[in-house]
Amino acid sequence: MKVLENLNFSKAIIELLPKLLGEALHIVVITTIVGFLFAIVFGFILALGRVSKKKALNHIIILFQEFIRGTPLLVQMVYIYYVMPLFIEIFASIIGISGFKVSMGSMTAGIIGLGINYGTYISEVIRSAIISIDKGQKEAALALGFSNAQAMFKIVIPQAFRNSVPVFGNYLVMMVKDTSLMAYITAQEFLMTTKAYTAQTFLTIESYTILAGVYLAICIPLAFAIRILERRLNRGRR
Amino acid sequence: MPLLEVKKLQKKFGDLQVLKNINLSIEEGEVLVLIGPSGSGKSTLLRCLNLLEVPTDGEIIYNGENILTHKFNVRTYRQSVGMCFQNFNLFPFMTVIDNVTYAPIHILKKNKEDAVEKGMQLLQKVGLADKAKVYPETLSGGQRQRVAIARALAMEPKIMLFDEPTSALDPELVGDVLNVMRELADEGMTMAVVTHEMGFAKDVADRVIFMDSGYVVEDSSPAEMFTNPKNDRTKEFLSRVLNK
Repeated sequence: MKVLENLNFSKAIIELLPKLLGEALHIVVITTIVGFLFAIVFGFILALGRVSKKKALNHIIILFQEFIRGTPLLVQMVYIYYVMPLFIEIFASIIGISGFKVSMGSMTAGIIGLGINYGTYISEVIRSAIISIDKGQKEAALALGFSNAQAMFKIVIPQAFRNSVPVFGNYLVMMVKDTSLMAYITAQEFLMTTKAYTAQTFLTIESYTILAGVYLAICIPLAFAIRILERRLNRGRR
Repeated sequence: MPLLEVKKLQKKFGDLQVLKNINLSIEEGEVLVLIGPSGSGKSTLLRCLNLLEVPTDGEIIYNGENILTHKFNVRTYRQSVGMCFQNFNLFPFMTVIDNVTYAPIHILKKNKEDAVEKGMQLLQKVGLADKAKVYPETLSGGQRQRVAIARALAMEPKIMLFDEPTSALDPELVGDVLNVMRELADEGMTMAVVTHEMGFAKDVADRVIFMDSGYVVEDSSPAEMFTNPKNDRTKEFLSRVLNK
């Protein structure tokens, strides 16, 4: 097999790996951290809206969730990156600001896309965690003299959050992998960097194998760390 | 003037009328025990007393003030009404002492040291001072209910409501909880207790109320209730529960 004889992993490792672990890693880490925090905050807000008794608000949020869940994350990112700036410009010209130019950074678009998409899924996790807390908890807080909001924020939600952490962990690992979608909106993350390198060197097998290895090297320890955290949280309390 | 007075109270859940024209009063220092078959409305009545259920109609007068008017401050009222639930409802993510001191610190704005000192006294009183630092899940049902009593007492309530406090307990653990309640009654705490423990009703109650299908059927002293019940329905119920 000629192809196998010509494999040159050492060259690929020496040249590609520093690129991946440099700028690309930086993009992936920042996007994941910021995007995930955004997703949790956004998901939390959606969940609160869903458990509120305001019918109209419930319906708007359900509609939004269906919209996000019914379209691919990749399409959402592309939409945010290419279409949103145009909408903003059109809106600006309507309200009388002419010549308003918006340029959306690819990382910003990625963070917004991942945040909104994951936030939508996470909101269901938080919502079900909130409604799974025994209603006696809220009643006990009310009976002690706490207000409705205090009972919710001091007693119910801390427990709901604690119960959600294991699921959050899974979503975090998924998000690391989904940063690869940002390659389609020109972000120089792992996939894009690897693609560019392959185009120059034709070390296809080597490059993509290294790429897969880099994802594994991040995701497996991360999943492991989350399991430890989960065990810590469950120790002595539930 | 009674501490708490209920007048023509009604409660509907949709079409189902659970409480029909309830009238009763509780004097300061009195121990009132509510008995009756399941579904008779005892628990709903008790829950109406601190507005966990909002009555459909009628009046509840506390210290001369109707608590069902809009301007009435429900939160301040609830602070003076302690409640113990069938399922304890301790906060599982807090230690025992934090459960007891949480409301005094956050609602009464007590400083932490005072709250902990008072909390430890209360835990001492219910016999659980040695459990202060553990989480509720390591406690038995009886111990949890005693913590719940301490938690309610920490707010220094004027009246204590007990909603079937021993119904979820193993029979051998019931005694400890009842003893704590007995002690409270001896100290002069005003109490309203929904229970199936007829022994407790006989020994501790100042007055016993028998409820059936949303009505107060009989309201008398325990001696009267258990030896000479007037209403047929009361007789039937008592013969069933006392001779089982």
